[in-house]
Amino acid sequence: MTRTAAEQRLAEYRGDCPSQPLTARRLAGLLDVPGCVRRQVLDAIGAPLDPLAELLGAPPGGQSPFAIIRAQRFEERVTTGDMGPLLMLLRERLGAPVTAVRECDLSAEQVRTQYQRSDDTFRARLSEQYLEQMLDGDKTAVNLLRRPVLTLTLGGEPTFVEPDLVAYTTTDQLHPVEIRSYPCIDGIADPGQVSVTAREIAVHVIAAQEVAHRLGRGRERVATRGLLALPRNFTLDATGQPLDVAPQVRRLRRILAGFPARTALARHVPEGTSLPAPPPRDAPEAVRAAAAEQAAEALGALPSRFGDNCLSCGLFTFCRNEQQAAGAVARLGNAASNLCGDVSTVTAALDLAEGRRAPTTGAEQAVADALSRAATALTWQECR
Amino acid sequence: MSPAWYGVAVTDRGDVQRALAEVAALQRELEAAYEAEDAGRVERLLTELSAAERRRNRAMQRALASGAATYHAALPVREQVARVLGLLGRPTPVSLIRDVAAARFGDSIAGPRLASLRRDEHRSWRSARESGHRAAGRPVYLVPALTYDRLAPVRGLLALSAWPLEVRLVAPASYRVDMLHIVDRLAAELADGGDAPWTPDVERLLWRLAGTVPGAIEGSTMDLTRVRAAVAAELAQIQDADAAERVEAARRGRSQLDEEQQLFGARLTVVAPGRRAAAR
Repeated sequence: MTRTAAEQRLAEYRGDCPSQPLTARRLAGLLDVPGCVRRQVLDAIGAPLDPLAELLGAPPGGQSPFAIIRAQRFEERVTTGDMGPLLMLLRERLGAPVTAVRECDLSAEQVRTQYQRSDDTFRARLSEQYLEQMLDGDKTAVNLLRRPVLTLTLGGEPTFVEPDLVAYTTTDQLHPVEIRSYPCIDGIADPGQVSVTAREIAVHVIAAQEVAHRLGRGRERVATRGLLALPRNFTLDATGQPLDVAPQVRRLRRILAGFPARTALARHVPEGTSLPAPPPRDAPEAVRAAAAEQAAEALGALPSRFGDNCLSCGLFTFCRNEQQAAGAVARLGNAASNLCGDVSTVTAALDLAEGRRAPTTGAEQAVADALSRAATALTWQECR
Repeated sequence: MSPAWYGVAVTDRGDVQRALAEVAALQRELEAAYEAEDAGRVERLLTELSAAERRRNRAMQRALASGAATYHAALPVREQVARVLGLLGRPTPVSLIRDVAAARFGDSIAGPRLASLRRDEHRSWRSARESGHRAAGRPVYLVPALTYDRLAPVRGLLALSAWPLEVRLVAPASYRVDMLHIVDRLAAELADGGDAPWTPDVERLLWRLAGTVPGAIEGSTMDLTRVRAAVAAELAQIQDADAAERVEAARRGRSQLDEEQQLFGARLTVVAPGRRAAAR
């Protein structure tokens, strides 16, 4: 398939659905669902997952408004003015010198005020320019860059990610700094949350490394060791911990490198289906139902790969219901589906286990043996 | 917050004395400028003097009236902000203006009212200029701080039009330098204030801000001399380079921008970012 044909097929499939740039969180989500074509196609066209999922009957997602306000207040507290709390953390944890206080804010609002435009392409260009000065070791360069926009290539297409902060210290490397609002209680933050953040930092690190590489400076100039700034206990005071995300960077690099090209993805997209524009929540029931039907048809036309890690994907409810309706063994989880090998439905597996159907291949024979042993063990247990 | 407390917090003897001293100083300066036949300076001092006199009158009236429980000093938002900026003396982020207004003067400034402030000030400045009367203008305007490279307005950072351009321009290190100056001013205010009603609130604010200066706070009590010494030590390391950048940018600003742009910022259209370096 040629590139134009592939682009056309993907554009047709996207239909009226708005396209939005991928966030670091969504890119980090690729680690969970490697090889799921459904998710890859949606990522490639930048379709918003949550509105689609909600349309298809998933419970409304998103954070509580209180959590969002708290996050905003914490970020404002640590970044307004001179970013004093962060300077302190950088000095203590990353060994930045007192003179490393040259700051620049590239957040969308600030850039719009100063330049009257704030699109991602423009901000990416500005960020690259500042990063180049930082990498040059220019004495007049900034050493704290707030919300730069970095370009990352996914399947041959550029996407933009926006780290909270990139800091530069004497160790001759750029360090990522991330601000999160879950508390660090008695010096310990929730490990689950930290591991999610670590993966997002890894996305930023890779993006910054690619920028450095493009500018001819070498990827090693961007450190994998970053700083995670969190509220101390239940206050809004900042505390922080250095975090090395080298393993996450390695895994994510492998996934990103393996992300199929758009021409390859377009082959999986059937003709004649397209995603709807998700109607607003207060749209009439008939409109939502029609859109839901169209979305279900379009998504169902793409091959998926269901497994334990799908919980973090927005489309989880839809895919689970689909597996349930099909009676697939994948619905029982990775352990069960691995055991069943190429026997893919629950009915077929039960037939084999209870001897209603004779196995035809060697693999089926193995599955039949294992299952019938398990069935016998179960009967024995019940008899006792 | 009781009205009586509010009245006391708005003005005290120190404010009146300060306003009187300011008027006296300006009068002396005016005399000197008149002797030197410096017309531009006389003009500027006259405007500042009339503003200072108004401030003095207000302070005095308020100080005398503060005994009355019914007295409410409902200052306009711009005056509340100008008062905070006058105290801090450096470009200040909006959120800090709000905190200082609450802690030092007991004013609670609503967020949405600050949002339109900059535009209103700009409009007011323009219409005053178009009308052509000096009296139509305000003595001082709230203006945005300007970036050192493009001389464009910075979002969320306010300054007073009376400050020299060098102070209103912010270079990359200026955020920190200005914050250190602000910490110093607050510490000085606390040291002067003695046992004023606002002391605990300002102390709490200073505690938070000074926490980012190494060596400023040891243990659980705050020693103002120690805070100021720590601030001075950090400033010594960074302020010279910052001042040089600001002076250079101000020189460029004065030669390239008209009066309006020097106050409210240049509205430059976007050129290729590569030209930025060339412009420096």
